[in-house]
Amino acid sequence: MEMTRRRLVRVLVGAASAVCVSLCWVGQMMSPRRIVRAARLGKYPGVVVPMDDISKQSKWSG
Amino acid sequence: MKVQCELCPKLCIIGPGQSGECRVRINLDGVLRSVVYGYPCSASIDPVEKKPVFHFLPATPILSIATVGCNLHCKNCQNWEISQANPEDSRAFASSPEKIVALAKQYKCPSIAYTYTEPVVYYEYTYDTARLAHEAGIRNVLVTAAYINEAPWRDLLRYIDVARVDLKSVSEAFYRDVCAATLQPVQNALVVAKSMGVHVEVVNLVIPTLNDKPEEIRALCQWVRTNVGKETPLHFSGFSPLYKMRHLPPTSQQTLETARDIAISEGLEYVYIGNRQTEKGENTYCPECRRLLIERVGYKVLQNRLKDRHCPDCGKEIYGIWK
Repeated sequence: MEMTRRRLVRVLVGAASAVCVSLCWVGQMMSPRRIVRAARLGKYPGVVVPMDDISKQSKWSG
Repeated sequence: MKVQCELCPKLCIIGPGQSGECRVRINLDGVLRSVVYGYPCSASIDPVEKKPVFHFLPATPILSIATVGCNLHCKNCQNWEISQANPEDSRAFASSPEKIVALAKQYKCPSIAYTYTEPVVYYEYTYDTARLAHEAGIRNVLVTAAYINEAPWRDLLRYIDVARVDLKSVSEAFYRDVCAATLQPVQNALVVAKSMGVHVEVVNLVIPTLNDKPEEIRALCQWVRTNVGKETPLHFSGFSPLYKMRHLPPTSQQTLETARDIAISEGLEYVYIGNRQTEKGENTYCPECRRLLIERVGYKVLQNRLKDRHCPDCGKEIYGIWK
């Protein structure tokens, strides 16, 4: 198929758009998502034990 | 994908599978998660005087909870075994916010303290528990270093009755070198809490050679008086050699008494000494007539002469939440 000037411009615009979209996506992936509130994990990564007797004063300061 | 935690001024950028400096907020698949939500490592009923909070429901029990983790790394930390612990190396028990509020009711505690480590890092757990407690008529006390950004701080304070804030120094270098933090957000948090009508008490841990010079103590007192108010209770607390500061001596009683004298000379109305037994350092005196109002020894209240928040002798209204 013969490459007309109009077709060439379309191809170039398409390619440039694809590059821009890709760069934006990569940029978005690279920049961190800014979050204040954390979601709960639900599963404790350490050891889960039964609750102690809470009526005693704590050994911790504060 | 990386996430940036905007809860505290550290603004940690957290890679996948990593945690922030607090160790308890992690990035799992691009979602920031609190691994300690609903898992306190400690829950006890303490006297409210132990926090220390002296102008709030004297001689009442307070349900006190903590999870592991802290966003500061103070070399003098008294609770470093839990504040600087990794969650995966720690023990905890399951307790939802509903369960904590139910425990407070069961044990007839009029208030809940978020304490021992740093409630800022278990923010969501603190927030949800405090909201439920508030709805149930139970008061909330934060025992905190207040190293938090303003927006989440304001949001949380809607449910908080008392902010017991550690003001470790008014020196930027101290916060940087000893705590791995900065001073300005703490000062801002104090001002915001006071402006929102939260009852504020300040604790300053006096550490020999690091923040015990009279001019440093005077500067701290002046800052508190000017920015938080002369009625704000200020507690000077004695340091004990612990964690990464075992090479320093304990704070002498004389240093603490000098600090108290300086604070009173700077116009602060309620100044206390903690962690050391002193004759008058734990008592509340009327700032107007200087008569004894509340006598304390250790965590015990021996007498409370307040009459409906006023001095029974001269009638001055005493700052605090008394009922």
